[in-house]
Amino acid sequence: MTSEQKLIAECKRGKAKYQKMLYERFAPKMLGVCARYFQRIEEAQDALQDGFVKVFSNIDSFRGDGSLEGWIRRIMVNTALNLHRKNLKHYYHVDISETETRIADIRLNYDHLEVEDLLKMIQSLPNGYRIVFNLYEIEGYNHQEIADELGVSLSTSKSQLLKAKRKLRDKLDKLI
Amino acid sequence: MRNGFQKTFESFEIKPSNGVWKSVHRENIRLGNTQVMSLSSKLFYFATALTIIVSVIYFINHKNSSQDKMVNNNNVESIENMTIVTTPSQEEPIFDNQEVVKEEQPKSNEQLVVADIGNQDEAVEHEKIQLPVKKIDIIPIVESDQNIQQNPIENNIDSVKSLEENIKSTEIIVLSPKSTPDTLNVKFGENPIVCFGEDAILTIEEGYEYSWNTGDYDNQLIVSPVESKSYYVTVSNQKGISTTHEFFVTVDNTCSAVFVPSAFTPNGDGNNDVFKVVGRGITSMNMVILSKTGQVVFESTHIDQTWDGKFKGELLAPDFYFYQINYFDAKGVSHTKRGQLTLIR
Repeated sequence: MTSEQKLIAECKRGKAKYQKMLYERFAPKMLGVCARYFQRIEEAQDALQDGFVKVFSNIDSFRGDGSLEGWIRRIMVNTALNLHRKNLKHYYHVDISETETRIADIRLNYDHLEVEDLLKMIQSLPNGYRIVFNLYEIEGYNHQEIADELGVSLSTSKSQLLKAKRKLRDKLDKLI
Repeated sequence: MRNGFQKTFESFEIKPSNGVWKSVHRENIRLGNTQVMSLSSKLFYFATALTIIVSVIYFINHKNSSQDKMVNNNNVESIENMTIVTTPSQEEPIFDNQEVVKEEQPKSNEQLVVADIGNQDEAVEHEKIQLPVKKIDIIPIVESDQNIQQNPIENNIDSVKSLEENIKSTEIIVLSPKSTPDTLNVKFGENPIVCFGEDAILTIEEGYEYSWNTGDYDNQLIVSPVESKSYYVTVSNQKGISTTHEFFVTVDNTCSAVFVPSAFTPNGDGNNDVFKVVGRGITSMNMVILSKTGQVVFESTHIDQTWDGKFKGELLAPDFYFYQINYFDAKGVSHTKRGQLTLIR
């Protein structure tokens, strides 16, 4: 297995062979990331494709401060968000009354679920819910970061997460 | 801090379809992220490689033949004049880089010159071959060289023949390096025949580096051509010896198949909301769906018609239903497929 340093160096020089190696090393995992952001796998593959082109276009700017995987992952999430971006303002259209919602701690019991089932549930969420849920629960962003990233208010981010969790709980309840 | 979801998805992977890398690669080339060798530089490298190979072969051949000439000459002379000549072969280092080739050429001249002056009862000593090119100029002075090294060559008198004959025989020896070049061991898989829409796998065994005309670099290429076509691959070994092979993938448009899902969920969640049959190589198709009581709840005359689970505008109850599909393949042969499907809500 080629070392990560060599892989990065050769990719910076534009060697197709190593670009493919890098792709093959990270693509399955990154498609797993992208899949959570879209209803259909085809859309996720589009994001994966755009994301990897960005990876290779910007590999020169990768300084190796953090992990390569983390860097690629960040690009994938941003690419997924970009693909949603033109519709973002429609996703987060919130009634005033809804912003008042008190955020309860909704605990989701998904222990019995396979990751594929969980993915399906996340995919079936409306776009806005899904994105906030992913960013908060899986990518580990906080509400302020989500609000900044998506250009929405803090309360929108919170209420979207709450509603996403409610929706997931309903789906889980149906399954049990 | 990791929560449960992060852990759940930590090592979650989905294999992307083959097309994704192809698109990324194409885009990389378009954007200049990938180095593409221009035609002129390819030609340059090819020509350089060719020159090196030719000069190496020339060097090997030439060296052998001039040595042989030398030996033969000496044999002839030693009978007549009992001349003792030091052959250079014992001292000759082995050269394997081509820069030496240029320096080597004078050496053969030198030998020939020595052969010509061999009549003069002179004992000749050769120095090592690494001598610079100017050594040629020194050769006429060879007469005054008094350091005779008593290093007789084998006097194989029986093998004395005319010079011409010997040169001829050396030509045969000359061929030997050519007839045992570094061989390229490579086995190419068969030319596959696939149905439309199927993947064809082109495989190569052994070899070292592979370059497909599709831009791929594996010893295996998975393609799904829409029509019969050729794929070319250049395989090379570590020594840079390469060969190009054509794979021909035949797409059989006559094979036909119908894929019928076993269940669908018309609940409006965007997943499997309609019952849809997928077929290939089919010229016409009709389908009938019956309820358990034998009532026809859906009929279609084309493969693209889908069933939303409704009958007379009402969504039917979750239950088992039966389908019968009749279709004709490209050869005009009729097929019938029956089965059961489940409506889930």
